[in-house]
Amino acid sequence: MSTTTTSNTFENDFHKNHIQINNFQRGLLTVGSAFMSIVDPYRADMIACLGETAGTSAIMYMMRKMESSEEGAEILRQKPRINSQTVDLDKLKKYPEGTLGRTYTRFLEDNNVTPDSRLPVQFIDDVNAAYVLQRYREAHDLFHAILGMPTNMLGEVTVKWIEAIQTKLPMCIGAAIFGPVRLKLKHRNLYKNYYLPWALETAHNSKFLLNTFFEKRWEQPLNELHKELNIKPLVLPNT
Amino acid sequence: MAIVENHIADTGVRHGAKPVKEIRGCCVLGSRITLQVSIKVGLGYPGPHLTSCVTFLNLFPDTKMDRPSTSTRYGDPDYEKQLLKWYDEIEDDDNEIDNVEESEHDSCSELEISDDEYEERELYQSEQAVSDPEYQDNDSEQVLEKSKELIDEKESTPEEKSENDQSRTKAKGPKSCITTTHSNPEDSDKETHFGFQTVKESEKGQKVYSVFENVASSYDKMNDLMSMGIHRVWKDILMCRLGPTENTKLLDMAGGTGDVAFRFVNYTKNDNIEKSCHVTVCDINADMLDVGKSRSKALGHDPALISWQQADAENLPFKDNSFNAYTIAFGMRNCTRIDKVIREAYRVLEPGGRFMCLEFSHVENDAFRWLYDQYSFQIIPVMGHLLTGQWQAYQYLVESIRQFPDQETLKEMIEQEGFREVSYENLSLGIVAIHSGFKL
Repeated sequence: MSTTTTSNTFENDFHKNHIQINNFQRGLLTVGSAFMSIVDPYRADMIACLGETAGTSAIMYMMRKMESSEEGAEILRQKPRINSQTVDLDKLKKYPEGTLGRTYTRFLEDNNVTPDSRLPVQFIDDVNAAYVLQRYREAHDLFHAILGMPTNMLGEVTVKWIEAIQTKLPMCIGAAIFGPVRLKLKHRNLYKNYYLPWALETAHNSKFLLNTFFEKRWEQPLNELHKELNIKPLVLPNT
Repeated sequence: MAIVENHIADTGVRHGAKPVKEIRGCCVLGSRITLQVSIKVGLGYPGPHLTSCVTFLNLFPDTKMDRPSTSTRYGDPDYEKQLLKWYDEIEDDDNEIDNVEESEHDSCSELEISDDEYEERELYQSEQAVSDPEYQDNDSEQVLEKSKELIDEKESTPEEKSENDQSRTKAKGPKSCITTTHSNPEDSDKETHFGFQTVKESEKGQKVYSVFENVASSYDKMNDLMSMGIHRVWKDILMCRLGPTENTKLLDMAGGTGDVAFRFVNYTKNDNIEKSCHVTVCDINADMLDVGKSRSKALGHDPALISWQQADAENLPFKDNSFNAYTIAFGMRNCTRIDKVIREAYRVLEPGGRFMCLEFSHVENDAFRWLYDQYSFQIIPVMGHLLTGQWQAYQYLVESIRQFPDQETLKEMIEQEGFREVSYENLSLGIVAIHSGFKL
């Protein structure tokens, strides 16, 4: 898989999916998708849309963070994609326990998700900015795997907090603030006492997560990666 | 090279209401090569024009050809039959487009007719035309002169013609090299519009199908939202204008989700004539038909009153003269060849039958049109995307409305296919228009 082909694939996909909109439509889409996301959080396309239309300055910030790091700049140059064609999931399943690859595939199996479910970016005009957002979407599952968070509402909100603080995307901020409204009672206590403080601490202490070139680190043991990124995994006290 | 024969005659075929004249010529190019040319000139809208040009290059004149070579038999009904049979054997360029639709014939209905019957029907019609005394035009002299002029023109530009021939050559076997060119004003490019994009005709059908596949389930909800419920009034008015009486057999084309069909059933129920009336709902898209079927069930309609048929409007699987009313509501602009749709409608309607088309049209008033455009392009795709996640489908929708012919043009197209008493009525200041014509 040479670098030129992966970069071209993203550009081709980008042109196929790009839709030109003006500011009035952007405003309408922002308000509408925010409303639809709260009413029906399972509408992933609405959450994605909100991320695109409201996230211009946040994406600029993310791009600056990536360009200032060596690994991040490499990612921007190569524009790798994470989906079932680019990632050999069968090979990763065979990796030893505790490696990133094995943890990721186990996460996908346990939660019954696939890396192909990420929607393409449609409403962003600059191809590099579009790639940053696409990378963010595709890396979301990997964040779950690295942080050890499940895909229920509690885990999602925790990951969203970390993403919100690191990426400054309005969509993440909105989800982090309004998401807990839907938490069940028993999760609410856990959230307040353990998950939320841990999320805030991890977000501030750890390095910028999007700067991790996951494709080169499949064999890396997870605890080593944690040390590198300065993440302390959440440990719930046994009651 | 010597020109051996040069004749002008009626072909016995009608192009809409006007006859098609044929000019035939034959010239010998060499010891073993003869070139026979047949040019058909249609006299319907928009004036004399070429409908087909067949050149027949006979490379082996010793071989016995089916094609009749005598030229003194014009007016002879047997000869006309032979000619038509021969023309049938030549593959048209049209078949390239029709191949997409022909696969739809697999869904057989009892009204479907076989290929033999199609041929018979054509021969029958031509025989009727030949024996019809009205067919001898008063202006046939003028036509002959015009055709002669055309022949003179054609002969003076042989290079052009041969270029045309080469680009459309189709080998039909070792015996001959037949080329056919069609220069009908509507299919000269074989490209058409898909919203504001340009696509090949063969692709448009598939693209439209996938647009509707994606929106089928939320179609009705979106219609309500986009037109703020006014589309219900438009369809009510359509049914009012149709005013079905007893023994009405309606064909509702592109009527997938059943809006017009259900109004028909209610109208006939109100007048207590539903026992003698029937509606066939036809749509190219099976998903839309499924939605319609489940709606009908939910509303508790008598299944005997409505039948559902998947078919292409350009190629209906019904016999001639099998319906006395035909409606197409908001479906025409999705069809690739509007003239073909109208022609098929003419075919399946019985004499006295009524053709009605409810479709988006052009707004005359400038200020109102500006408002309407803003609403269409700014708000509708956004709403569509928010509700269904399908921006492109709704972008296509508003673009296809702009590309559709306006009221007068559509009226002329309907008249060209043979309908009489064609009229149109604007609704909502021209956002929508109802066109109506009768087969007389």
